[in-house]
Amino acid sequence: MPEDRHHVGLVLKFEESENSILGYHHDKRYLNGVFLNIEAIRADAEDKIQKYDIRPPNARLRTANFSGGNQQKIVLAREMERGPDVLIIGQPTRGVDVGAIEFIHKRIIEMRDQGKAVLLVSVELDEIRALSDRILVMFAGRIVGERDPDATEGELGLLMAGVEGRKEAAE
Amino acid sequence: MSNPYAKLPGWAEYGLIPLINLVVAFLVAGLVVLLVGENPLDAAYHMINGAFGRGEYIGFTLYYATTFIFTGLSVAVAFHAGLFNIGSEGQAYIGGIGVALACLWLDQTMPWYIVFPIAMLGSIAFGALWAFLPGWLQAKRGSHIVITTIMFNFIASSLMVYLLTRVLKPLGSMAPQTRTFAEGGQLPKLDWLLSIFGLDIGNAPFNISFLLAILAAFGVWVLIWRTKLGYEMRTMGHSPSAARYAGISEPRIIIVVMMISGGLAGMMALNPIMGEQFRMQLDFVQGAGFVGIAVALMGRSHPAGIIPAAILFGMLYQGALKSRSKCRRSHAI
Repeated sequence: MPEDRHHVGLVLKFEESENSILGYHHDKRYLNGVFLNIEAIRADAEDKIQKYDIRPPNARLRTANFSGGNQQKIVLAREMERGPDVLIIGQPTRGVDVGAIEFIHKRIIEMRDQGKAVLLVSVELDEIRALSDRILVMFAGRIVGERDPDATEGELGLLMAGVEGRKEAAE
Repeated sequence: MSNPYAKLPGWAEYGLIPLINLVVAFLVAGLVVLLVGENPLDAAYHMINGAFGRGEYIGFTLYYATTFIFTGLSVAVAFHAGLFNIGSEGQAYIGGIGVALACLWLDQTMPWYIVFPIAMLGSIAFGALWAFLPGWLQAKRGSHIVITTIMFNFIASSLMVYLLTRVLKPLGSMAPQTRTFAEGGQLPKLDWLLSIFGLDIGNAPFNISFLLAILAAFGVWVLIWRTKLGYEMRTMGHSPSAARYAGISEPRIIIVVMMISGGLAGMMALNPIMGEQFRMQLDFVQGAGFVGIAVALMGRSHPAGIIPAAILFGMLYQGALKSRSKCRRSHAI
């Protein structure tokens, strides 16, 4: 799940339904030979709109006209409904409203509970501490430490600044 | 909440705005006519009358429109993938080779309905070939398509001068053109289509390649909005980074789209070569490739917009020719 939904995750000028197959448009379900199966694509999009409570519930609306949170839910629905065993998520709640943040967090936890591997990349310490089972901190391109989610922000902050990391590496 | 992507309703964006553009263009042109000391209303009357006043004039208008539909579609297809193909001119010119070869080969032995499809395939093949090279250069070498297609227009021009003065010219003739085709190389006129409306086609070269142009327009609509390739093209056109994320091969799309664009431009050659002159002449494209850019822009790269835009430009061409002859006459008196 890409962190930049505006330029990478979505094509803002597309209809919602067109974005809900981005990257999976080779799937036979969405095609009739070389032609797009428009009915199947729209039905599939509407199904996702229901499940992920995307508002306004209109698969034909231009994606640019959805709010940030709902745009993110379009991406989330697209990637999660494929049932991946491993999901790498970048900045899932950047620029997203509070209601949608809660919704997205719940979905990520559900993935975990189904026994899927989730790698969450985020700059939000609160988010990381709330969702993670293990926290790996990177500094200057290297993993400098591993902590439990109950580690304090100060501890993580020192690791992020490279202070603790150097000590650990020296030991 | 402010919305930077706010969109005008469809009727305003696709109907009202082009209409306002048109009216403003007419007003500005009217000022120019006023400056040279003529009555702009008279000029407008001569122009519109010259384009639609008689069955024959309408036939000419639609004949020009046919040409512009092909080149407009050619430019529009490339636009959808974010490519600016300025080479429709050269691609149409080279496409003429395919038409001429098919006609020179078969015109004396086959009827037009056999020659026409073969000439069509020939025009597509040659046009696509001429667009393939800039496409390949863009995809593999990063040479910008705007620059290379312009350069290819000049190469096409020189190549055609060579071919028409040395290779395709009949022996003992001075004119840089092929021989005149026999009946097999001549397309039937659409006089029956105009006579439905009680119009007489007169000498206008309005021919069945118009119907092919309409079919091509429908084909382009299907391609862009109803096929997987079209989906990939549009993704790339709107957002190259999203296309990369979605696993769409950029070089493949560039090359394929340029070849489709070139093929459409090539088909334009059918209209003047088999429909009007019955031979290939030097510079038969006459800037239609560049008009195609304007047609595609005005038609918002949508086939349903390109057809009326092409008819508008056909009207301007035919109307301008007619009103020019009117002016000359009044000055002579």
